[in-house]
Amino acid sequence: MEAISKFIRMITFPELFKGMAVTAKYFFQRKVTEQYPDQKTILPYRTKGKLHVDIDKCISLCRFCEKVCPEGCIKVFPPPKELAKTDKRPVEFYINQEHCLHCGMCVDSCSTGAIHHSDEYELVVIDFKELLGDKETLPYDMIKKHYRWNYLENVPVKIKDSPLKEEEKSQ
Amino acid sequence: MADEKETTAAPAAPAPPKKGWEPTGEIAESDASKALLEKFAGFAAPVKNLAKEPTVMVKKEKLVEALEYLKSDPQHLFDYLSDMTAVHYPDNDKKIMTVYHLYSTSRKDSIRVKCELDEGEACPTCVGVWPAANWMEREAFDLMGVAFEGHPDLRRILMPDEWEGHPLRKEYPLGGPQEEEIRSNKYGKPQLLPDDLEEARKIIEEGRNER
Amino acid sequence: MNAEKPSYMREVLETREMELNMGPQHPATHGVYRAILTLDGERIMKLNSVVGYLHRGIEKWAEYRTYQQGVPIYDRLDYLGAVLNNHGIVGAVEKLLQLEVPRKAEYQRVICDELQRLASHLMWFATHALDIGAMSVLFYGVREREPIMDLFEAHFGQRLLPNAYPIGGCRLDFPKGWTEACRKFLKALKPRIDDYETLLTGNRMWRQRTIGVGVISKEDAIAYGLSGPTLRGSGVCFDVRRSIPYSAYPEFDFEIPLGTNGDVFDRYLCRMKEMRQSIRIIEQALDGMPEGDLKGKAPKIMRAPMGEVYFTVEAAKGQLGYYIVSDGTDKPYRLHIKSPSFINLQGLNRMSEGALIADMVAIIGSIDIVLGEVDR
Repeated sequence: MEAISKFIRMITFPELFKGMAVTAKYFFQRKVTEQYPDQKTILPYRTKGKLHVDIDKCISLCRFCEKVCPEGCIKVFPPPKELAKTDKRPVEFYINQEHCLHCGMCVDSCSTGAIHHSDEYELVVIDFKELLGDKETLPYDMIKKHYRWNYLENVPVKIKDSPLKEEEKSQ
Repeated sequence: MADEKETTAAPAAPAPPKKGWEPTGEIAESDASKALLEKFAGFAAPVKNLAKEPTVMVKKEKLVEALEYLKSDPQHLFDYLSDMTAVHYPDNDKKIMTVYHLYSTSRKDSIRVKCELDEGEACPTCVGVWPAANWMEREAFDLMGVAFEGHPDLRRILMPDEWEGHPLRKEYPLGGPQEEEIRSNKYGKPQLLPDDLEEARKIIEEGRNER
Repeated sequence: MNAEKPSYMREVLETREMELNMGPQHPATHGVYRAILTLDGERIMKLNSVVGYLHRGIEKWAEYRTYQQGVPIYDRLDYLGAVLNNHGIVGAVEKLLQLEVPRKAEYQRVICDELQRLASHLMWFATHALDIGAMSVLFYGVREREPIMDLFEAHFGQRLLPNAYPIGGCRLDFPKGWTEACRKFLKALKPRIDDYETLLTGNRMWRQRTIGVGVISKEDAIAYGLSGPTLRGSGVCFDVRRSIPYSAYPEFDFEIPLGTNGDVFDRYLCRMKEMRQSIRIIEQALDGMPEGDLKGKAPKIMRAPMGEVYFTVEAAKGQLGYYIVSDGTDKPYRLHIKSPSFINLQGLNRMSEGALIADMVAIIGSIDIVLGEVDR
């Protein structure tokens, strides 16, 4: 009897049909693939994208971000000493996104929250020299609407979000 | 590259006087290290350690014998070679140190064995004790330039075969043979910019214009 | 050699060993790994591994960075298990500086570590099955990995290389809704792992391709220094989480799955069972999440006294160790990484002796190498 059932199992390939049943089960489920360039994902609130600097908030003399950066992407030029007593904003601020690891350690170390990430992640450019940000290009562009600040407590608004991210916004 | 920057925010502490490397901490002991010190008296010495890991320094002549003893003695049974590496101390008397981290899968105990070598001196191989040491010793030879006596297949492993120099030695520059070239190419590396703003702007403009 | 051949073959045909080059651009070597195989017919007589195509000099690089600066680069070792690498270096520096890590941070680390282990094993499962020829498993494995990456993105802000933990604790608490999302994912994952096992474990083609292939005995496995599921597949109970406890692992109840024969199938079963244990650990950690502080008291300038430490964690591939020599400055004097893939790859020589050339792909897949970690 056992031999017959074993023989039947041998010729009918039950395990293959079991496997096919699994495949068939998933065939009728919701698709999970996102059609990227046509359909842009909404990134969560803590996404570490491109770095931005709020020049008015920066006190420039501490240079913590410059010291902690593992790749040395950041260079801050503080104002001369006479000026620094009243106006602590940097004279020039360079960030090279080309070398940036997006590790977020400059954001951690900044005591005023001047440096922050946005969710701008499409950093492909034709000329790599475009990736060097200076005082004019580094501040956060509020006109680009779906980008926003993150990682810190001062949060600008976002347009629409998934439930997980909605709750975060109300934090 | 990064060593050009200031490393600390606090007022610069005086640099430690240049002297050889010497471990600090306490001497940690375990049964295995005690037994090893007893058996190889005169050839083994305890070493201080920060994290209370038992460490023994064994002389080169008795190294393989000591490792074999630790592996096969029924009291110790350190059958698993967890890690083997070499460290270069250019300021010490003995400039190369090989380090063995042993672990016993049955007794769940670990010990560190070290061996000091002179510059250019060959270390006895422990491939005969653990086959695992084969690639580890090749790596140490490749990156640190320690020769291993009796190794069956001593070739470079990570670097190309025709490479000159041993990268992990202290005199080897970070950028390798192209160190000078890397340092002269300032554009796109803000950490290499001078502290003077006008000069920095000039370099950046030059970089932007060149095609 | 000639004596084993039938006499007519010896006289008529000239037979000799052939050298076959596999890689470095072979899709089944999981990266740029080159194997020079010496073949006798279809049998592998000798294997000569060539590695180092991805050598980036991370150990040298580390000597020029402070302890804090170095942390994000070790994610790039095993890029499929980045959080685990991060735990290793952070734990080593904490051991060196004798820092206390808050209990809540340890729990958070355990949760993220186990999620990363799941992600790594799922990726291994997907690619290993693809190597042997099970195409649809690739889609399932990658699909299950995606929610984990989403969870990481919601918490750390990065998907693949998150720079997860700073030295001395954790950065931020889980965002609101994260714990629920995590639980939901784990609940959905459990029946799916069963589904995948029906696809492969009982499948007779899978069993024929894997059982008895790439066998390594218990004694050899220890002698060759294998670790992780590759070692446990041979029946050696060595798991760093249990044997050399670190972080909050002693507080959790989990089993260490062991194999018996040490073949490809046993290693496969070990990893599948390990995924279930990971789910168990995460659920326990989520339930017992303590209250308290997350950031420990880490000094801003880290100067370690002269000395050395060796700290190991159980990464997805095996025992990952960091050996730090400090010389009293804020940079490591020497940092050595014991990477499990490097040592496991060495055992491939032993495993592939006498194997068929078609099984080579299965054996490479079963030891789960990541070339970023092999070459450092």
